[in-house]
This record gives sequence, C-alpha cells and structure tokens, in this order.
Amino acid sequence: MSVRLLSSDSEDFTVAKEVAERSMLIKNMLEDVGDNDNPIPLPNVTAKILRKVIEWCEHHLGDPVTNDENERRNTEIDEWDQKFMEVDQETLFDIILAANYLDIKPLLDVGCKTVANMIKGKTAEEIRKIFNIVNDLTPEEEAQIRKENEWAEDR
Amino acid sequence: MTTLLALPLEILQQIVSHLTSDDILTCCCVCKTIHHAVYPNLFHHVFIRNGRALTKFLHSLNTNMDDAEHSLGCATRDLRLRFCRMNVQQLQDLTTHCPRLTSLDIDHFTWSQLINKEYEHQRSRLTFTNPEFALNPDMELGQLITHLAPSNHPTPPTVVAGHPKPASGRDHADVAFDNSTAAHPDPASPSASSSRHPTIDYRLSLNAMVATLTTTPLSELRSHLFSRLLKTTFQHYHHLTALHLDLDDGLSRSVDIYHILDLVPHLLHLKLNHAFHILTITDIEYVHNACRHLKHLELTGFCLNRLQIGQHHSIAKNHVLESLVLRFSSGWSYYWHWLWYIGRKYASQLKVLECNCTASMGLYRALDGTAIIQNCYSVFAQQHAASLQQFSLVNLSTSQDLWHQMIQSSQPTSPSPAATNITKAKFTNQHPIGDLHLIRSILTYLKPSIQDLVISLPNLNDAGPFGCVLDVMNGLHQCTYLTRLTLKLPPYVFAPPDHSGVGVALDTLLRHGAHLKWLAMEHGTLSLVDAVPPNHPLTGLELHHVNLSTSFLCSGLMPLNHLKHITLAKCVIHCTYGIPNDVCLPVSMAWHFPPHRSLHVDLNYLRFYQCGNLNGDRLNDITLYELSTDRARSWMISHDRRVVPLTESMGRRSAGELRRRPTTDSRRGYIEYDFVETEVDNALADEVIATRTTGQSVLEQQYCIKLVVHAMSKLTINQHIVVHHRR
Repeated sequence: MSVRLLSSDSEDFTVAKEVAERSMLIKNMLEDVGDNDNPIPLPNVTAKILRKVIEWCEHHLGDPVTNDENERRNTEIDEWDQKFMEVDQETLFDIILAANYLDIKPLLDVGCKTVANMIKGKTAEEIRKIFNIVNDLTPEEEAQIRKENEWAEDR
Repeated sequence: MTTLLALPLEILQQIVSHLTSDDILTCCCVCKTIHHAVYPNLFHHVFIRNGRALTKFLHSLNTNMDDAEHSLGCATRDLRLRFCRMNVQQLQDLTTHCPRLTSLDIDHFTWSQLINKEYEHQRSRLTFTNPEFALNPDMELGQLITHLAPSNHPTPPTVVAGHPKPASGRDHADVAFDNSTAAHPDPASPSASSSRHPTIDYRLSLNAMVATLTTTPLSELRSHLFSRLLKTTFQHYHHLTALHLDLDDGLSRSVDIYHILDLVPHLLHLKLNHAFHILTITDIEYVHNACRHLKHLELTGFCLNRLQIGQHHSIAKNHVLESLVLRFSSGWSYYWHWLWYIGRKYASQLKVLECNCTASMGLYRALDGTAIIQNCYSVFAQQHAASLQQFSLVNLSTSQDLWHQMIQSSQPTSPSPAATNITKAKFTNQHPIGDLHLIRSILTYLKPSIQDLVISLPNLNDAGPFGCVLDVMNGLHQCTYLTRLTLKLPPYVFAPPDHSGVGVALDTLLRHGAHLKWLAMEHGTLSLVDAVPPNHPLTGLELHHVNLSTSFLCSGLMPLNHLKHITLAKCVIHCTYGIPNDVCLPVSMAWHFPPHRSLHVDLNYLRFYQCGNLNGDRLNDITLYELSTDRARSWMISHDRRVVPLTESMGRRSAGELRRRPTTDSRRGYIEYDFVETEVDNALADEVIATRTTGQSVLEQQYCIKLVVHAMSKLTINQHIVVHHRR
C-alpha cells in the first residue's frame, strides 16, 4: 500500500505506507483520514528536502523504535547516517526542520547530533566562522559570561 | 536561507543537550541569541570538580536570582560533586537553589569535608558559648563535655572574656546561640532566597549536640553528623531517581544505610560504593524493599557473605531489576551460591550481570560437593541463560559445568525455549583456572549473539592437543556478530613453539567476523594466509606481545582502509624479506589510509629482528615517510645515547593537564606527533628527537606513512606517535 505526499513546491511523491509512517505526523493524519487517494500536503517541506527525508526513512525502515531517552542520546551516529548528513549547512538545517515538523524523532536526533559534533571542541570564534554568525557580544560581555561560569569548564 | 540561528529554540536546546558543559559555555559566548537560548542548558547537568568551582557555581546561582523568575538551579537535574571542600552552609544553599534534582552523586572526599567542617564548626560553637573553653582551644571534646554538662554558661557574644552568668540550663544556651547566628548571617546565603524557600536546617541543635556528646563515645560524633547530613539531604530530595553514594574512607561505618534508603523510595539507579563491609542477602532484600522500582543496582565493598543455599527457601521474586553489578574484593570463593540466589531472586528481566572480584583472587577451590555447585549453576542457568544480555565474570573462576548448564538451558529443546541474547561478555582471570576446553564451552554458549567479547585468561593450563586450538579458532569464527574482540591467552595457544603454525590468521578472522571493528590481542602470532577482505570495517588494532612480520605490517594491513588506531606494544617484528645479514637495508612498514582521516599510531617497545638473526646491532634511527601524490616528506627519529629524565611539562602533558595548542596550518592537512616517554628503559633509554628532514607537501588523496628502519636488527623504542590528519 502506498501513500502520496505533496511537497510545498507541488511535487508529488508516492511512497510505501510503512515508509511514510516513520513520520508521526503522517501516521496520525492517515489514521484520521483513513484510506484515501488524495495526496497529503506538506506545506513546510520542499521537494529537495522531502526526497532526502524519504531516502532516510527507506533506509531506516526496519529500525527498532526505542523510547529510552538515554539509549537514544548515547548511541553514536552510524556510518550511513554520517554519509547521509554530509550535505551543505542549509540542507542540514532544512532536514532538521523537516524532521521536527514531520515528527521523525530518530532523524531529528541524528541531525542534532551532527550539528553538535560540528560544535564539539571548537572555540567560540571557530563556531562563528562555521555557522557564519556575527558576534554581537562585546569582549567585556564575553569575558563576564566566561568568568561567571568558570565552574562549567572541565579543568 | 536556513541558518543555525533560524532554528526554533527547542531544537537549539536539543542540539546543545548533546554537548558537555564546557562546549555549552563556549556556545554561550558565540552571540547574544545563542546565549539567551542555551544558557539555562548549562545548568541541566552540573559537574563540580572542586571547591572553587562550587563557590563559583553558587555565586552564579545567586547573581541570577534577581533577574529570573525562577532560579536557574531549578533547571538542574543532575548534580555531581567531586573533591569539594564544602561546608554545611553551601550544602544548604545547594538544596535551596537546586530543588528539582533527580540525580545526585557526591564523592567520599566531599562528604568527609562536610563532616570535618561541621565538626570544627560545632566545636568552635561550643567554644564560643563557653569562654573557659575558648581560653584553652586544645582541650579535648571529652573534657569539654565535662565542662558543659554540670553547668552550662550562656554568654553574650560580645563579652567573651567576661565572667559567665550563673547556669540557667541548656535551653538557654541554645537560645543564646541561635541569636548569635541570626545577628551574623552567613554572607553566602542570600536573604532573598531564605524567605522564598524553606530553609533546611542541617545543624544539630546545641541541645542535641550536648546530648550526643554526653551519651555517645566521641568516635560516634562524626557518624551522628554524617547521618544527619544524609538524612536531611534525602528528606529534601525524596524524589531522587538516581543516587550514587560513595562511602569510602570509613564513612560506611558511620551511617546506617537502611534508614537512609527509606527516604528515597523512587530510586531507579542506585550505586553504593564501599557501603558494605560484608554483604548479605538480607542487605539486598532490604535495598529492594526500600526502593521498589530499582532498575540498576551497583554495590561495591569489601566482602560477600557466604550463603547457605539450604537456609533460604522463600525468596521473594523481583521483577524490576534490570542490571546488577557486584564488585567486592573478597568472599567470592563460593560465589556459585550467589549465582543461585540471583537465579532465584530475579526474573528474566535481568539483562546485565557483573560479578567482579576486585582483588584479583577468586581461585577455584571447590570445597562444596559437585552436587551443590551443579544445583547452583542450574538454577542460575535456567533463569538467566537465555535472557541475559551482558555478563561479566571478572577475576572469578568458572568451571565448564556452568557453561554446560548455560548451553543446555539456552537450547531450544529445554523447557523454556529460547536462544541466547548475550551481546556483551567479559571473562577475565589471572589464575590458571582451566584449559582451552573452557574457552571452547564459553564460545559455544556465546556464539549465536555475542558482539563485544573480552576473554582474558593469560595463565590457562597447558593447551592440550592442538585440535583444541583449532576448536577455539572455529568457535571464534562462528561468532559472526562480533564487533569488538579482546583476546588475552597464553603465548602457546596461538603461537606454536615450533613456529610451524600460522597463529591467528587475521584474514580468516576478519572474513568470518564481517562486523569486527576492534581487535585487541595479547600473545601469539598474527599473520595472513591470504589477503584481508577489502573494505572491512575494522577501525582499531591493538597488539601486545604479538609476533608479526614486516610484510604483514607493510602490505597486509593496506586494504584495511577504515583503520584509525594501531597500537603495537612489545611486539616482535620479524623481517620477512630475504636480505643478507651484513647488508643494512631499510625495513619498511607502511600504513595506508584514506585521506582526511586521522590515524593514531602507538609504538611501544618494539623489537625488530632479522630473519634468523636475533643478535643484531641496535638501530640508529627510524624514518617516518609520508608519501603523497607529489613529493614525499619524511621525519627522522634519531636516538641519542642520552637518558632523558621526564620533564615536568611532559609529565603534565601526558597526564592531560596541559593541552597542546592546535597547530594552525593553512595547508589542507598536517601531521603532528607527540613523543611521550612514559618510562626510561635503562639500556636503551634514548632521547627521541623528531626532526623534519625534507619536503613541504600538500597532502592530497591517499598517502601512507612509512616507518623505515635503516639498520636491520633489534630496536626498542618507547614512544607514542600520533598522526593527525584533518582538513
């Protein structure tokens, strides 16, 4: 059984129902609507991103669903996902937003972990450079934040 | 254009939830938006590493009290205190500011400091109220009691040296004291917070103090103080779900653990360090009664009590506990009784079991009759053989009987049909506790599901017939889901004395273990029969005391393009090229790895031998060659004949206290290496000098690191080479 999905730029995708149901949003919609041949409109997701998301869902179709918060947090990103997330930043953030909107928790986790890995061990200046962020803190403010929270530094 | 800052707040917070507080703090310094969004996350998981950090933490909670509706401490769920010189006032502040903790972990150093400071405080308090005592601060508390007990002299704080008024009873003294604290509030405690939150009184009243002093021996004073500290803390945090209590340093003797656990009934995780001098099953029953939802229990201590299985007929089944860790230094000689108890007590929800003899004893002394041992094993195996997922027996003896029972109970033909679920297992013992048949049985039991296996039995009895070695190898080959394998077996197992066999054939092992990512081996010979399978996921290879050949290192490892860590320690490397003894041709080793990955190479005390010649001269230098697409560059490591003492900075760096500043290299890759001398070997202790000899090259595509040994013979080096390569 298959489901039709309509991206924000009106591209029509036909995917297997199990694949689409990785998204809690779509799963709930299907439950509400019942069997229906009309495409499900996804106004927040472009075709480009939806294609990526479907690719992910197809690959992770058989994955066991864990509700254990700790287990989800502590597992490392597997190799396939690492490759999958090797995209430009805009696409990465769009995938995260789509995963959030479509309510696909494991994909959201992978996205967040990927961004976290980009931050890990970097200096503030490096982070600004990576994410193209303008520093609007004065050196004094920055020093103050550091000083007030010295306890959090691991040394 | 979607950017990081365009993400919704909750996603930003989810991202930083994967970061350590050090990284979160850095994020806070990036810009105002991120600071605003993630600053509270800094307070979710708090790890205080020393007293200074604690003061700073309390200070930052205090300063943020005014501008936030709720204290940031309300966000704190997880608090860990290590090595804090802490006083009761600070503990009180912590409980006031962080009311919603679910996980608490305080080490014994901090507890001891708390008790000592409180002890000193109480002492000075008494001194303060009693001027006679003030004149003689060295007076023992015992004497103090005799001074206090008959006539208690309350004195206003201003007239310390004045003549004391006539005795008017202890109650009066208490009032006088309370007045004096009210007049001098601790500057660390915010006056605003004390009105908003109920203050928790940790301190013994003077009455109680004097009563304690007069009725109990002095040695118990600390215990009273500690008890009170613990109880008050737990009364406040009665909703804790995770608790780690470290009662080392004799603290366990001064507290009745049972009356404290009652106060935190919602615990899911409980870790009690050094809490039990002798652990009995009554203790365990008590813990379960106090905390009925407990899922993870970890107990460490001195001794396991010997059980008498006949005496415990009715044991209430526990259907909640999922993981049990017992780490005790003695009392394991009859541990099968405990296996019996674990079989009776816990139902099949128990997934993790670790029995750890921390004193590396556990010699097998079967004084019990075989029937009793068999009975114990079978009760345990019938309950847990099929359902356990992680099983460790550290420094314990295991007999084949246990494994036969486990195999039988996990067979589909047994009454409860099931296969094994074990994914992680660890069996270690320094003593000769059996022979290869034991390993064969263990592997037979584990093979359907094992992923992470550690077998460290370096003193097994004689290998027996060679066929048994093959059985063990076959057993290993059948463990097809292995991802990590650590093998420490006696040298003769995988290195036949006549050098006729191949030892462990890496290619065969990898071909069977298609998922193997980490292989650690001690003793034996590692060789290749054929080429290693291409594109194998192996990332780490750790070899100690292993015989290798240069061809194995040079070309054998080439196809392993996922390899990231290579450790060779005390390995013997034989040259397999046919070079005449008198010609000093370089022996070369090359590691080949894909671009933009880092390779860690650790070389420690290697020995190089030419074929058939074990008495050659010492090597003069080694050259590391890095080959890239255009030009080669190389580094030479020469050995001066000087003994270099470990400098302070080297020591600190290797202890992780000094950080190496990241090399700012504008080129696409760089190679940095670090020589850390951990020990000075008398004969061969040499200064290791790294000099870059040739070439500046752009690192592109695939390249390899070559270790070229110029003079053929023996080399002992003790060094650590880290080769980083990153974009």
